Amino acid sequence: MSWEKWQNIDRRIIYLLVTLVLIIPIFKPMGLPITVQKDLTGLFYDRFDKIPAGSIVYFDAAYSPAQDAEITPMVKALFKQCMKNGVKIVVGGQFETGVPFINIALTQVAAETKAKYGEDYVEIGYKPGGVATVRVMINDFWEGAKSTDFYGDSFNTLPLMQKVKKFDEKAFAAIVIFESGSPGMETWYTYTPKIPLYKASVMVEVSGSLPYLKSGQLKGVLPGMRGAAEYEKLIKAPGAATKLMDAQSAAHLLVILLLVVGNVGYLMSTRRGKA
Amino acid sequence: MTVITPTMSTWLGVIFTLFAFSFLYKENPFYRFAEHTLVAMQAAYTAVLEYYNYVKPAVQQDILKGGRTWLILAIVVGLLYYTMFHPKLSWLSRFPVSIAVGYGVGYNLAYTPRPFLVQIRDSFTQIKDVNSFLFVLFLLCTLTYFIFTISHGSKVVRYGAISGRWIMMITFGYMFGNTVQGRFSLLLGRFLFLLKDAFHLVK
Repeated sequence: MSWEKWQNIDRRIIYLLVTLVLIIPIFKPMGLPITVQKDLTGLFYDRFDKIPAGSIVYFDAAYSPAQDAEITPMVKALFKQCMKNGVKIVVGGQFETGVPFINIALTQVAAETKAKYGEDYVEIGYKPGGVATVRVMINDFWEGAKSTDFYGDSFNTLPLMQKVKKFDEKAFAAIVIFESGSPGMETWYTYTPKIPLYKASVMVEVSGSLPYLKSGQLKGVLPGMRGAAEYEKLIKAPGAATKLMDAQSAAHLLVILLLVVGNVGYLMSTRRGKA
Repeated sequence: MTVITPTMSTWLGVIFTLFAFSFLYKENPFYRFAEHTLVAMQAAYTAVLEYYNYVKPAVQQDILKGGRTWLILAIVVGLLYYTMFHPKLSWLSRFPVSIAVGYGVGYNLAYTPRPFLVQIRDSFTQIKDVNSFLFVLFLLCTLTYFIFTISHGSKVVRYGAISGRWIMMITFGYMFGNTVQGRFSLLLGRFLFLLKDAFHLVK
């Protein structure tokens, strides 16, 4: 047997295998158990759930369309939790492409939860200018956001916005950033350090966030699709992430199998070379 | 007037998803077309969004209604960026660039160090349990690996540096695992779009 072949499987065969192990569980879910990570998702839920009714939370859409599959389940789960607890939401975005995607997600979930636009939540949309704009919003939210929401309507017509004059800890009980890259959480822990910051992040970003969680600069980290599935379990509202976790698990088993195959091939070919 | 209906939007999504996936087989014109369309679309979208969501309200509220006519000067300075396309006037584009860079550097120097200093301080002062202690220990070991100004002859420094190397390797493995999981999530998102939204094969 040629052990070298084990190390050099055609990448197209691997793509085909990955496609199969991802698609089959979507049709035939295995119902694998989802355990909640206490130090990440559990911690996020416990702290976020304590935000009192009537408080206002700021959602920041700092993600691009490619990350929609990971982020949208988290957006929906957190929105449902806020509406259930009577927490109001102001939605902005540091990524211009994240704003329409969070709008689609919120429009769907607002219909389910019967949330009223303008009273329970407001979308202010993307505001260009980076930290310069944020700085203006800290002193005068309306001025920085140009008093205009995502739909082009004036803040004067939106009751919730009458309670938001400055971007400070008096107006906002928390900031939740849905992040897939930069600019991201550094905007908030740098310029609004007094407002508790929560991060719902793509998996790639999680390891870099943990020192911030340890130091207390982040109050919670929600790790990717797995975190979304765990959160759906905690709020008792299974959604898209729960549905896709079987496929995730199957794909990871395949990766482990391929790692073993490649390494066995390497070890055997090395041993034969020595002999 | 709605130019693209939801059905058309879905089918465009299907076509462009398949164009993008075709790269997995090999480089081809369909993939290139999808890639270039995405870049062009994002540029166009951003320009239109910024105009309607920020520039237009700013001009209407601040200049026309608010009477802050001095803001026109900022617009003029901003427009100087475009002089870079004219060889004889391109030197004028240095003005907005220098203002932006100066503002950015000054602002960052004033604000950026604080979060890192807070993080370093809190890493050492919040040792409450075994995990916190290990965190600080691993931090010191990793830092030791990068100390080149003193000899690695002593056992403390040598073993500290070796441990730091192992800790970094384990961390990189963890990061790689997270990345793989994230990439699978993106792929699953596309599959779900194709199977559920486009072809209605799953609920």
